[in-house]
Amino acid sequence: MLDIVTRAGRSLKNAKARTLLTSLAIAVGAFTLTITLAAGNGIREYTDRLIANNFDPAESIVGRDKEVENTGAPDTSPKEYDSSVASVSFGGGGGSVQVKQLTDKDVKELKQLSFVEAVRPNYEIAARYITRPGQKKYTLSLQAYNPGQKPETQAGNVPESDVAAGEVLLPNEYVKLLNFASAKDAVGKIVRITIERPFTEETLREFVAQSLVSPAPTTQPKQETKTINLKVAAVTKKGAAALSASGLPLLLNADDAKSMYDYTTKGTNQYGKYLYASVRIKGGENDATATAAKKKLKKLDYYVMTSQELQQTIGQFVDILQILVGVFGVITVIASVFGIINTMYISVLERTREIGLMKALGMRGRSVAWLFRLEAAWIGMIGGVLGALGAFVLGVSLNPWITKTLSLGKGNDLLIFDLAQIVGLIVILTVVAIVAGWLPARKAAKLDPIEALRTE
Amino acid sequence: MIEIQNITKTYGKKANTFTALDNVSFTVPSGASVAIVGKSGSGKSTLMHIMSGLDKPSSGSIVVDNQDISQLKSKALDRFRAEKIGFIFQAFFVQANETCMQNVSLPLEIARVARGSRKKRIAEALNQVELSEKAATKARNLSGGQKQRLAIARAIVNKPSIIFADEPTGNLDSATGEKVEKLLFEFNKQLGSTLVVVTHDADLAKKCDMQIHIKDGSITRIETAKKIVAKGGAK
Repeated sequence: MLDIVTRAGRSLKNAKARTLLTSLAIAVGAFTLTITLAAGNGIREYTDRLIANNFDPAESIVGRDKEVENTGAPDTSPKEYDSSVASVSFGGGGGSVQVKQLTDKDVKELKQLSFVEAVRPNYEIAARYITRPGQKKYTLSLQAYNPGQKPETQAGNVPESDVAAGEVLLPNEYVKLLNFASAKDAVGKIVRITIERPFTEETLREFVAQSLVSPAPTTQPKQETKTINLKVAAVTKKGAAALSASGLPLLLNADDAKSMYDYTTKGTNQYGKYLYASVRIKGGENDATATAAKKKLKKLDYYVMTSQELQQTIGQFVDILQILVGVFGVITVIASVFGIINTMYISVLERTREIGLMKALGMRGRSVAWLFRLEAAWIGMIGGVLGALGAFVLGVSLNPWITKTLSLGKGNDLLIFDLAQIVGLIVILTVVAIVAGWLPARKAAKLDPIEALRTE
Repeated sequence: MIEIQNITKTYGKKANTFTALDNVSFTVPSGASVAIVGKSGSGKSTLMHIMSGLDKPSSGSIVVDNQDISQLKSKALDRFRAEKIGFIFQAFFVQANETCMQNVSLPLEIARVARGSRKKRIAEALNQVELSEKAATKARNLSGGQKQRLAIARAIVNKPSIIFADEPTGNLDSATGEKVEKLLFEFNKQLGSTLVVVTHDADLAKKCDMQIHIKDGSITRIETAKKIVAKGGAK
């Protein structure tokens, strides 16, 4: 066998250009597949870090609507009405989905469950603006602080469990806007947030009644607003592994957030209702515990997405992406298989006499076939090595640039090469090449030595 | 000893049957040199192919050293050729892009001779055809005579009991041809291997112990020189 291997290698050496060109076809496939695998590794590692930074593994998302568990397109079909249903817009097409919300009663019920450690309803606070004395007003988004999603700090300290009452975590974008000298300077200073109470039915009714009496009402219904002073506890910045594409929200103490939410929703049907709540399960870091808790919650008619499920959803997305790119690589490899078949047929034709001689001298047809299969194997292996090497060199040299361009953060490489994977790939390509060489090899094996030696 | 008994070889079927060899019988004593003489198309090449186990007869038997090779399965036949037969062709069939050493190594590889003992045997064979200094030279850089000498080295390296030479001097000028002939007869005598030469060269045929003349698939005449006592003959 060793003799056959060296002989196969030798005959390739004699047809260097042909061998190399055929190998290059395989190399393109190997290149694509290596990059795909490396990118898959990188993205997976990145998302793992992303999830670790953005989600508390013990925390599940709990709601009353099955959309909570839906990872695909939302269900927009009509549902039975219930006072807790709210309309949530999604996508850019003006579409909205009707979602059954959690109520204060539900939150209370959840809090009382023995396996629940903490419940954080999602307060969507419609704040008007943020400012401070002598400065312009700016828009903002407000949220209750969740220790499971610690932002990076630029100045000050991010609290362990919750922001102190009356304090706020200010995103670094506001430092300049609100004219602080520096992030450090902002810490401990007061910012003002103005929230507004919506028109209630009574004020509107009053207004309508008034306008019926006098066609030109003298008093416009006045919007009730409230300004809250908050002390900056820390200046936050968006981490490299932050999930949200939008900016960081201002982060508040849970009770502050609740009272603001109540203020801004009082009198509307949104009052005391929440799209979902983050529920921390005792010992929920453990998959089994989280799943058991989910089961219990489902019995109470809640819909639950555990942190693990969320992770899987993101992982699935990465997998699909990788498969898509991988398909291109596979197609390239398939195309190059025909290249190998062609090359091997030419090689058999070219060496008819050599095959005839070897068979006349008593070489078995099977050995002759292996001679050609191994020749194909060499082509596959050379192609695989060239492609993988090319991908590796390119990947390693481009990684810093990619990291910078996509602002993945220091130490995050998009392309992570795994030696075992690459070796596996090369082995697979070698086997593919052997399979591609099967028919030409059979032709060589079946050659009649008398006929072959007659060729002058 | 090679005993050819009632060999017939036909090609094609029914109406298109062509008889290449028609009931041929003769015996070659071990160590003899035999010339199979005939014009092209006479069936002399077919006879050589059948004698060497490259081809199978339609009927009849070929007994080489008490073994009927017409009955052998292809695997055993391959083994028989690898171990007992050496071939020399008119067109040399040396591998141009391989070195002399690699060329001579081929029969040893096929016969699965252990790597360790190959080198010595190759060197010996190359020495015998006076190509020692060309061992590392690629065959394409050899002259015609050198190529045929290389082919001889390849044929003798495995110490075969029979060497078949198909028009060994056909592609060579008379001077180099003579040298090749001389080598072939030398090995015939030295190694005691039977030499079967297929040729239409009357001068070469005359140098053999035995001449088998073939015409249209049948033996027309067998000439034996002096000491050799041959059995069999034309039908």
